Amino acid sequence: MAKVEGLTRLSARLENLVKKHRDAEASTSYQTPYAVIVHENLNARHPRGQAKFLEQPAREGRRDIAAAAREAGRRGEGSQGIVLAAARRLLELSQPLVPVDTGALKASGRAELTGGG
Amino acid sequence: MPGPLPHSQAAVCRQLLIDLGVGAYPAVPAPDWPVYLHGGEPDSPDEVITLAATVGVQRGRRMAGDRVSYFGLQARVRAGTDPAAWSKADALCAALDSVDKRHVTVSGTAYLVHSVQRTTDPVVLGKEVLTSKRFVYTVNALVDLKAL
Repeated sequence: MAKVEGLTRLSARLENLVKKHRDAEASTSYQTPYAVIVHENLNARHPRGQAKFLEQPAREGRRDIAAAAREAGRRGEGSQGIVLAAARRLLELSQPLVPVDTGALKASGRAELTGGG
Repeated sequence: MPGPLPHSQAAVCRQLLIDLGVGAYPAVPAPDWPVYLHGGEPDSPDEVITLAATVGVQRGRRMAGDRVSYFGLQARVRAGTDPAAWSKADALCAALDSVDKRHVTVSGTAYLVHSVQRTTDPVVLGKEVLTSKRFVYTVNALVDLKAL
């Protein structure tokens, strides 16, 4: 029977990699207390911006966000840098869609690490 | 999801929710929990469900050429009291979670709803403060469906 050498070692390395990067987590959010209401209320009419200002770019911009993460990986950033780059790209994509009244909601956008890595 | 949809995902899901007993078709006099489509939500009665088509997710293309898409859906649950709104939103979530290859017919067009993937639990929007002080929850989901 053919025997594949080094599988155990490879498997152990992969397990270590997964353990090391599993908890790397970043989030994109808007911090004002009314952000969720503005985001979810499809009935409101906004002169500038729209509801679903975060969800829409998260869905439509998946490739763009993944590309930002890949680019961070190419630059040699670790798992935290990679997820943070993705979160920042989502923030950039969402900013033009945020409704602006006083500007507080738009200014409250954050991309930050929420888990270790 | 091969082919175009003659009705929006909101219209298909309205019939789905009616079939599942979560709501009813709007009528006069108003039944319990009529289900409206976005833009048609009336001021009365207090207890209504309103469905809106929202942005979905594109999952690429199969080798055969058809695109794989999941359709975005938002359900808005409005009621005069918080417990009433919450319990209906919770029931709506349970109904959506239970969908497994369910056939739905809208105005003579048959659809197969493969599944509904909720992307949120009920999100509380609080009271409609400037207008009625009714309580509102929303539930967001992705719907996998096709016209037959």
